[in-house]
Amino acid sequence: MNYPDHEWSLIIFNILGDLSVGVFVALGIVHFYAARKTDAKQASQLSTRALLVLGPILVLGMLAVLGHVGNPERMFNMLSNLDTSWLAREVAFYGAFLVVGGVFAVLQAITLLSPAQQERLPEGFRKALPTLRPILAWVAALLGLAFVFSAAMIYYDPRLAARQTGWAHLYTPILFFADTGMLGALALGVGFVGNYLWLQRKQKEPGAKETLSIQEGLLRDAIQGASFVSIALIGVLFVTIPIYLVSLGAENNNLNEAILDMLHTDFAMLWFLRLFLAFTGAGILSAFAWYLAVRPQRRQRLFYLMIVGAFVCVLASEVIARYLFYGRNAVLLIGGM
Amino acid sequence: MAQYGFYVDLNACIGCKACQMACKDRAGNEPGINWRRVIEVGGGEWRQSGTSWTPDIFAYFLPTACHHCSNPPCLPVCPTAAISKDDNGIVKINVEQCIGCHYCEWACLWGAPQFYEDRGIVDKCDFCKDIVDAGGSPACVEACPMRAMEWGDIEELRASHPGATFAVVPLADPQDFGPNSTYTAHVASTDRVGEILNQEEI
Repeated sequence: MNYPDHEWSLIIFNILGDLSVGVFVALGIVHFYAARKTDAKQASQLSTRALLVLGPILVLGMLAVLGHVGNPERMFNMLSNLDTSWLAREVAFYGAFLVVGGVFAVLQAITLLSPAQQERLPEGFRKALPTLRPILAWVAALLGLAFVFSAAMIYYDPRLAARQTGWAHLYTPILFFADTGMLGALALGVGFVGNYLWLQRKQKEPGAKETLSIQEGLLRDAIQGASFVSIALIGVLFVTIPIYLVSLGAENNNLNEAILDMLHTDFAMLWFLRLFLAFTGAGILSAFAWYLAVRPQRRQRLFYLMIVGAFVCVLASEVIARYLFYGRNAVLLIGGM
Repeated sequence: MAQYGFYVDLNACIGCKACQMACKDRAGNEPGINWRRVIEVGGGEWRQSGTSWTPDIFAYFLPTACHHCSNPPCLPVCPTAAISKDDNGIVKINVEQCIGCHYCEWACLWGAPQFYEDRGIVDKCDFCKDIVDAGGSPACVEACPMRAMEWGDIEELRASHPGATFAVVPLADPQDFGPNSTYTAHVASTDRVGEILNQEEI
């Protein structure tokens, strides 16, 4: 039995990719909500900086995945078989998400410029922005979700089912989408807290007080949503995991036996940590964050700490989950014995 | 159009691994990379009769390589379209196109595609395509001192060896991939199931 230590590049790529898509989609929902509740300017104050952080994260993910392939300089060859290869589709959707999302982020960043600076832009371009932005946002979100789906299908692919019994289960797509949702929601929560603290430091500017109180309201609403999403998704995962394990045990073959054996021998501690951290982060800490978010005058610091703690626990749990995920492939068997 | 394949009589194979070495020699493969592998399978137990114990054991050898499947799982999953199947059914990897993503390795049930750390690509048995196209025989078949191996149109091989099968221990159930290798099972394996004895080596 081998440990999947050579798969760190894939683990990092998948987590950063899923996190970015999750944040992008969650940002879209929050932005839409904030624009309806307050106005476009306030919504932009809340979400644009978080959006700009995604670019470097996605580029980092791309660099990480190059560590997995033997000939990174030929990476564009990976787009040659979109017809039948989920891996080719994953790469294509990731690239497209990065490009379209990037263009959208640049257009969105214009809202952070001062009115005088915005005046200098060509008039036609300025007029087109309100139409262009939502279209790009929708396209980028769909491309991102298509990336997560393709990434899950790489492992869920029935053509791999004979060999990769640990992957060819509905647990795989559920794990990928739950990751996207939980990491996205909680990372966005952390981003919003950071954004709010940054706005707080600029309190001396005229009109800042009013902005700050509106932003605090939005922040609390957003955290309520993020906590709710992560609690709901950890519920889904905790229902799926036992079903997955039972179905591995029910189908009696050597591969499944080897996988189950790994989970209660070599990987037992990691498996426990994965479940413990997921429950603590997405369950307990998220519930506390939600509780503090609905009671505005309660302890600010503790409130921020809960969200950051929940994110850190879920991130650590997901890293372990992906490590175990590739561990299930490390049972190299020739001829099924 | 033919579909080439291999036939091996497991009763004739003595496990000398000349096929494995001839393959390595022809392909120029370093230690650790084996396009053809010889699996040692064995089993049995001690039996008591009266006051004495006697070993009742068996062993046989099973040469295996890429089975050039009719419906190869490695081919459609490759993101670079580097894997192709030619007119003779030979499944080949274009190493100039391959980026070494390992995906074909994950898909193959029999461990045929293998990663080259130094070159950053995956490659596997190509049925000695250059030799076969020039009218010769694959290196492994040529090298067998027991004449246990044959190659050719798989349908003809199956027809000329009635009872030949792919269902030999320890080869995995081929699902619907259609592997084009066939074996005359070893007599010892008809009623007993052995296990792989040289896991470290293969």
